[in-house]
Amino acid sequence: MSFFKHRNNLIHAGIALTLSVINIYIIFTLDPPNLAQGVFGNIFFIHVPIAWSAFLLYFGVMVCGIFYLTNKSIKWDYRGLAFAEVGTIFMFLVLTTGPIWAKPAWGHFWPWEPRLTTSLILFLIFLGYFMLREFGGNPEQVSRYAAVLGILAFLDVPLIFFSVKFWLPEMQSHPQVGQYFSSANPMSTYLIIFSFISMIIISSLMVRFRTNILSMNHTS
Amino acid sequence: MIFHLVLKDLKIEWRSKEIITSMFIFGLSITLIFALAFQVAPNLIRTFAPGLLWVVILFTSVLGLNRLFSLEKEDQALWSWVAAPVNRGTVYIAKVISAFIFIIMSELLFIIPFFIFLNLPSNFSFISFALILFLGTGAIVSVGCLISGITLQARLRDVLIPILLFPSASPVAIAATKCTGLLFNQIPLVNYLFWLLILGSFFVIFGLFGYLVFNQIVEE
Amino acid sequence: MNLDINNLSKSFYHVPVFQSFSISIKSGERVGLFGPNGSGKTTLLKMISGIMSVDKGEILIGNILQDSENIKTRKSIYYLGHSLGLYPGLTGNENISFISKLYGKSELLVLDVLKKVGLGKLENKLVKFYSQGMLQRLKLATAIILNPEIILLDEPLNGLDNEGLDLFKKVYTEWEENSKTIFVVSHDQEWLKNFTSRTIELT
Repeated sequence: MSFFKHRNNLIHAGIALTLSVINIYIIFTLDPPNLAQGVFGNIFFIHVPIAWSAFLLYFGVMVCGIFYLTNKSIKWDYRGLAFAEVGTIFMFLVLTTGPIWAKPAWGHFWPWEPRLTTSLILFLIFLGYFMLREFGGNPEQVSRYAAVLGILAFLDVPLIFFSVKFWLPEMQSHPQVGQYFSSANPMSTYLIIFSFISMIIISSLMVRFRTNILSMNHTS
Repeated sequence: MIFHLVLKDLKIEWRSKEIITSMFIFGLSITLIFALAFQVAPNLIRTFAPGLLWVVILFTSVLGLNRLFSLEKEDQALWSWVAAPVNRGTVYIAKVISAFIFIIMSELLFIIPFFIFLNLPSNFSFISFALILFLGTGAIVSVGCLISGITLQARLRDVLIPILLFPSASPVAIAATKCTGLLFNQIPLVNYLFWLLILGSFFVIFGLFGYLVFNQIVEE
Repeated sequence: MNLDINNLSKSFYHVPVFQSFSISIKSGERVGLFGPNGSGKTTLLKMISGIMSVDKGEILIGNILQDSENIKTRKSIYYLGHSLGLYPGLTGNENISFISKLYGKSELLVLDVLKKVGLGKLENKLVKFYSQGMLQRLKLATAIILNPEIILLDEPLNGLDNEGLDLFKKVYTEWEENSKTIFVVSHDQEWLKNFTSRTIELT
């Protein structure tokens, strides 16, 4: 566990742990903003920040891919893979918390809502990404292919989003989402932002930890 | 240069006729299955027909792309142009053109039986229909050639192409189905320019991206 | 044209095949390369020709860096490797014409050269029906038409019959007279000693 021997990493882990404990405590004890949804309303405070960080992580895959293709440094390949792994874990959480929230809020588990649908499609592309990593050929080639696929996946995001958005126009109105960001209730907006910051800190720790392990495995 | 590269693919196909024949017969078989599966509610099939059409096109495209790129993998024939003083982006464009020609040809072959088997009315504008087919196929092919390129060395190429292509091409599936559906209901072209724009931008974005990165993909 | 390789590194499945490998070949030099299976002989030739990417280090062809973005360097090299790099679904003539167009060479010579290598009657036969020796002759014909400055030969004697060997020797002598830079991989060390100016062993 040489990763945690460095003081900075320990501090990073400490902050991540403290913030997530505080975050979870607040979310569990807070009164749900919409009583009709019951306690499920609070899942939103986890769901949205996780979704934002998941997209941010996949954006990281694209950035690493661009750097890898331009300077061919193996570091960027490891970083890209780490971003993809953590991003996929987060995306999985998005796809599980989404339906839990959607059932009480919208009445059914799977709304073909643009954001959720885009998440699902990206998640599927990244399942393919890991298959490509595993079965794509020798690792030196696969690094390049994976970088290309990471960029391809993110280039697809706006296209998927807009096509799903106008595909089912009736899904466009989100009164249930709006209430979390209304000026009448600034507390919930702050809480979402706080939760998002703690998610970023946790995910960055996870990415750095994975990058460290990946580069250790291959240099030894 | 592009001309010679496309001509090479056409010459090989002209001799063996394996790509178009297999795509055509495969498309016909899926159409048959659809016709049988929808026997329960023949009146509903008109509503579903646009979607079914694009499912058939996507499935046959996978088959065609796989065969088209196997051509390059056989006896490492691609080394002839990888080692040659040509911009490999040009080769990507040539591949897009060849794939486009093959897929359009097979579409023209199975579309008539598709309409006959499913008892679809044909009282719509053929020019608009051709435009939708061209744009949709172009969009599939632009991302399809890229994906076939990155899976070229993979052991599981046959599986990886659809796994990566279907989610990536989901905007195409949505937009093309929407266009075709509106067209079948005799709604004039101007009402779905948005969807044509999605198809067009998909083609342009992935076409450019493919042109830029193909250089790095084809090297071993 | 001279060929310089500086600090080249390449690995497969994280196993290094080359680590900081350097070699310098002067213009007109004929260098032989031998070594056991898996020592990276073919890999080296593929990297020089641009078919395979390099992990680290550089390959200079006539002092120009070999790079996937740079088309020029690839013009002066031809990799004559085994029987690969030909379309089985095209005829011998079509294959050569296609390659010569890629290199911007005239295809008027194709038939003459095919006759020269003894494939005159087979030019319209599909390459998938060619035997090993015929394929080797076809590759030789391609090399003659492209007339590159640097020629990379990978086991050039494989599959050639006696007549083919004589033909190869004749072509090889022509290259020698035109002071082409030649890099040969072969397991036949005796042959390498007789026909190259120096040999390198890869381990």
